[in-house]
Amino acid sequence: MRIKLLKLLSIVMFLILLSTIIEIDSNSSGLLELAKENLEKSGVEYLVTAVVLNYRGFDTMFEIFVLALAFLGVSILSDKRVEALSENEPILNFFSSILIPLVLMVALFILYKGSYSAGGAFQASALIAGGLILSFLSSKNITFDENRLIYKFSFSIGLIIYLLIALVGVLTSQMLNFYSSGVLLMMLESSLTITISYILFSLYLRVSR
Amino acid sequence: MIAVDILLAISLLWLAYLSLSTRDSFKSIILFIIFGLFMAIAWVRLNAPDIALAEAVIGAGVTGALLMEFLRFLRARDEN
Repeated sequence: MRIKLLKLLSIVMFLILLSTIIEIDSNSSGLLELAKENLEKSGVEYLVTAVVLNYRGFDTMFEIFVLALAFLGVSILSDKRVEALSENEPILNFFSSILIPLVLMVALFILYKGSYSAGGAFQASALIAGGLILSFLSSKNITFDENRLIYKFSFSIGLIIYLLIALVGVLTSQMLNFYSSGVLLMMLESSLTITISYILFSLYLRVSR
Repeated sequence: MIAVDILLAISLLWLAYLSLSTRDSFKSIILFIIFGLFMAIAWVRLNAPDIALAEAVIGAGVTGALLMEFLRFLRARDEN
């Protein structure tokens, strides 16, 4: 009885969402002209990256902080033991020795590509996290002591640099302005990549430990 | 291109229904990964390449690996 009610509810939700999509006016452009006019002042040459990292820069900052808080919450609730897989699989080892350098190269290219085309920090960091998961699954003997300085550094570098750049903008103007140039944005994206990839990979490690 | 779009939409809905109604957990995780891949193609058709990249990597890579790992934990716990 309850399952039939849930099915009915999901169909009703689907119809409501469909009706809101049909009403969208496809002739209005909104703020698109204003965003395109200020593109040179934002430090990148691609509209989506400019919106995410400059026009709505504070939104992205709070999103990264929420992700870091969620990671802290998960890491409180789980143990810290990390065991490696004990089986030796030759096919996995062979293919991951080819794939992992390629993953790193593609991720760095996507990170650099974000300033003039589709790409950016988040996609590159998720790809690096996937490569780290693959390397963890294909290694026989791994110790992951999370009290080492390099892991604490890589968790906090993105947050610290983002905060510093946001402070530069706030302190040098009267409104809540997000100041950025090309160099600052590249530094910001690189540190964000390190932080987000560390968080995603460490979340994977804490699933069943 | 309309035919491709309609086929994509129908296959997305069908894959989602299959993934939720399968009894075997392993099969439903694989179907979820395939659903993420089809969703990435749908994002490309909606002129959003950034989201397509993110969906392909996260839906298939990170979330898929996460769910498989949890399935391994559940199966090991059920044996004990």
